[in-house]
Amino acid sequence: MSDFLSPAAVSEARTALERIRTNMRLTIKGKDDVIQHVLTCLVAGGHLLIEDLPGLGKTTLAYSLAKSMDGDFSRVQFTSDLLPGDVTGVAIYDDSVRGFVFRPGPVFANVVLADEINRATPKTQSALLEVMDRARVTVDGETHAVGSPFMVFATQNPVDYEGTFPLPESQMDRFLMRIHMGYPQPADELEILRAARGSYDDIRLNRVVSREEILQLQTLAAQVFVEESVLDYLLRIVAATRTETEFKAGISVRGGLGLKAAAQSRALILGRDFVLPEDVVALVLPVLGHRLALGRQSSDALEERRAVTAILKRILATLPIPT
Amino acid sequence: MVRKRPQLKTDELRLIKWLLGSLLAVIPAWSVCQLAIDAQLWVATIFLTAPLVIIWPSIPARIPQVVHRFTFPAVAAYFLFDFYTHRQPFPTLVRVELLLIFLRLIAYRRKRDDFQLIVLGLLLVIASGVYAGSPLFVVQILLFAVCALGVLLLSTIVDSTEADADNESDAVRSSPAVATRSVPLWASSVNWPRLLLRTCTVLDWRISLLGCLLFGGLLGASCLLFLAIPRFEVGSNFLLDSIISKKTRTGFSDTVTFGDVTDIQEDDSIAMTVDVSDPSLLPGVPYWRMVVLDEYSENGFRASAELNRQLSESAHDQVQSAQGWLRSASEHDGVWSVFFEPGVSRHLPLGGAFGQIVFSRPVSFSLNRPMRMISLKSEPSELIGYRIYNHQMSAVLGDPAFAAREERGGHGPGFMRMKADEASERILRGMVRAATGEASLTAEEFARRVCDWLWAGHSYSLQSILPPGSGDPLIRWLQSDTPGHCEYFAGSFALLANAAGHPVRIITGFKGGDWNAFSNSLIVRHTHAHAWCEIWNGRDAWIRVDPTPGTAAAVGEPDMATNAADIAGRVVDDSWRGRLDGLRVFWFRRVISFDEQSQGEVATGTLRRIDRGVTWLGRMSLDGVDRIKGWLLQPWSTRRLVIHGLLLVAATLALWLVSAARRSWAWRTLFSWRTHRGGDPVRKEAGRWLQRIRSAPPSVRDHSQVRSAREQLERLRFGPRSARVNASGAFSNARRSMAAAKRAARR
Repeated sequence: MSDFLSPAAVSEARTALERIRTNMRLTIKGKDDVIQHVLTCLVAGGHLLIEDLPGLGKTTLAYSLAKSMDGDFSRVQFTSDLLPGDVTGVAIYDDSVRGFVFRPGPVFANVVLADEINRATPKTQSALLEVMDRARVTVDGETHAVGSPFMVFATQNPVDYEGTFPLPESQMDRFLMRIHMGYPQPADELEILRAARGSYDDIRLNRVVSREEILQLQTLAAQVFVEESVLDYLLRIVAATRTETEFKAGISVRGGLGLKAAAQSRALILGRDFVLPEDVVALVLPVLGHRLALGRQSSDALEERRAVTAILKRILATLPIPT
Repeated sequence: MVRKRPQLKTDELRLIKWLLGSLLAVIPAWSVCQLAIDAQLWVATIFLTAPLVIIWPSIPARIPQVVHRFTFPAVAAYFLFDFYTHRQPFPTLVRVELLLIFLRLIAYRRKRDDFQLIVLGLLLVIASGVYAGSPLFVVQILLFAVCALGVLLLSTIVDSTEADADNESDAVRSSPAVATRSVPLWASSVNWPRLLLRTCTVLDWRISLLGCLLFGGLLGASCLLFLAIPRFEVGSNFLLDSIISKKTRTGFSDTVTFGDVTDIQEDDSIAMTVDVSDPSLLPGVPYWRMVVLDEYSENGFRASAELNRQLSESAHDQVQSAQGWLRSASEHDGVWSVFFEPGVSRHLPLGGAFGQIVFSRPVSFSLNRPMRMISLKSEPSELIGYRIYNHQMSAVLGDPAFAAREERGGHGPGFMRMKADEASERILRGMVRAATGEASLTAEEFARRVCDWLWAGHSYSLQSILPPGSGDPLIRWLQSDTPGHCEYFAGSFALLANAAGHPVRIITGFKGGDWNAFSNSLIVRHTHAHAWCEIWNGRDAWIRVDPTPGTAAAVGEPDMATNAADIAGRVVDDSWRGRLDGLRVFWFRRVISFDEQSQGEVATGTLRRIDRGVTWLGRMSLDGVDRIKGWLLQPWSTRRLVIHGLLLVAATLALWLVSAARRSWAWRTLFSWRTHRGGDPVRKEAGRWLQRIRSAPPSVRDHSQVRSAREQLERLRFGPRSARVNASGAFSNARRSMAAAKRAARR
């Protein structure tokens, strides 16, 4: 394999991703940046945490992506009584074969929507996170691979924290990015209102790429070139979070790798075979924001997120961008 | 990697410019302090205002508009009033300049105002430096140069930024009156400690090195200019003649009233500096004659009208050298270089007879050969340097003319004649009898006995006062046991010698001096001011008599033992003050006295050194070739071959190790800055172009051609090297695109 991507491969990748983007725009109105992040996460092979209020189109987003790449979609509503087996699947006794047969859970899909993940107990959350990390499920000593490509959309309500089990930092680290949907613009919302549509099951979207193509895109993204100075810049950002006294702990190595992968992915989406410092800057908040917590006690989660964002912006402003 | 350093914001740059501009106002005011010009009011005002406007840059906005509106007529009126009152053009100009500087200090300065401030300040600093002749000039002009360069540089940077253009419209582009109406953003919230920290963060070794190089270049260029430019004289300029630098408390003049010399002694500043080519020529206690006084009145002593007439008869106008009383001398007889401070006296200090005197510039002076005096036409307004050849510092001054006159029984000037009343004469004769025992004595013996008699009755004290009463004050003092100082002792001796019929005269000048260990020169201060006498020996010469107590050899030359003791006991100044004095002497020697002759010496010395260097290099090269030849021609035994072979292997191994180490992680870590900063030249160039595009205005930046060029440049800068496009083509394209975009933006 050559050390750089051929222009044709990059061009094809861009076209494919553009197709997905266009397809998703049919259902997700006025949220190009969100779609961009979703594609970034997908191509980087990561999982996405969406923190926002209910009813803003999170499920539609995940569903649209699944449909665009002809992937299986499943949705799990996390509740406090949800068991790990309910997510991963269980082995049940099948009389016909006189043995235990594995009954796959909802994670056996290409796109899994873990709705309100923080409502489940830590045990159930851990079960999902293990799948996210390894893309496989082990039940009764038997390992079962989940869908490929595999991407989890987990959602959290940032306001209603009553009766929840907040994800610890170590588990937040498994998500490549955290994004916010936000309310649509009035014009976009009007368009949404005009469209006669019921639930997400009613969404009819054509497949625009195959799952194999997505896997190829993921392979290509890993080959996107990152120049030394950009790597150094990325490293300095990570190092700065570790020396920042306001944070409880700095960014992990996984976080740094995630930022690099996301930047590569973004570069590919934008039709480049190399990463620009701008790619890194654009992804610092979504990739690193959820991995950091303040050392001091803050009044609520929203306040903490705002403070973390402000500190990250300050770090970015302080560090010189490679020119 | 080409790192983008953190940069100061435009407002911060403006603040630094403001600080430097305020300092630019302070330095000229400081330099004016060295001149004897009555400008204390403006100097003090600037000194007080500068810190205030630095700490609170919002102050100019609080000054009423009317002040700025009536600035020009007020300055013009002030100039006319000042000139009409003082009738001195230069001091008036200085004061008006200070006023203008002050006005610029209290207003927000545009670029034009900065230029004016620099020009006004530079004029004052140079004028003060030239006239004061002080080494402080170096410090002042260097500080001024640094501040001025900083202001100009910052002004250029600030003006060239986009933000500046926006801010200009707010506060600076308009007239000063408008500019001061509101507080500009940069002046509204000032945090100097934070700015200092920010500046320290921004400064890195490259900027510091560049600054040092620029400053060094400026200094080097100034030194070269100083060495090379033709020497010219500005001292005779009619406009500047009336200006003199700081005066001493009093000066030696033709009239000395009681207390004048002690007044001078209270001033600790330097009166003159003496360089002697052969320090062994310097006596243990040198006496520097300046003024001969041959008349006495109840208030003190003065030079007679006849003596002054003699001086005016032998006047020389704008002459640089004159022959003395001895044979024309050469450097083998010793060269005495005297740097005489301005404001001390118009009479130049001399140790005795000399062969030739050469001034550093043409001067108008009078040479009184019988009195051994040289007097300038007027008190020098600047430091005056002169070299004395074949200088004989002696206590015995031959005077054939006086001897001839004495033989003829005639009377002339040059010795004291006291018109005392009969009662005073009687008292004095009685004292002479008491001192000498009515013996017929030679002048020398007479002087010794009178000195002993005086010392027996009076001790030395600077804080002495004449006893109250009527009659001649010195006779009252002689009749008392009150302590006295040199004027009383010298005056009393002169009266007694005069009463005894010995021709005598009083001399004022300097006695002794401090030996500066750093400059190897004699520093004579005003505290060394002294008065003594010269008595006619009855034959052919005047003998020095120092009747002040504490003098080892009161009459004539000291013997060798006394002289050696005086030399050993000479005060050697190795204190910090001595170091500063040494610097001052260096300044006089190498800068103030740097004339055409010195230029020639420097040029000759430089050529000689170059010649020596070339010769040395040639010799070393030839020696090297000879050595290599000898090494090759030595017999190549097995042992020698093995040793050299091993050395060769060791050198190769060392090179290989270094090469391997360069690839290692440790090497890269240790020297990562080199790889970063050295880097790929294509990436560096592409980075520069990208930076230019980023800093271009949006109309240029977003131009389609520029966007396309930017993509190519980004590929060159951040893309894989193996997929690199034609770099030079990309750079040319970027240049063309930028030009096209700028043209389009202008349209």
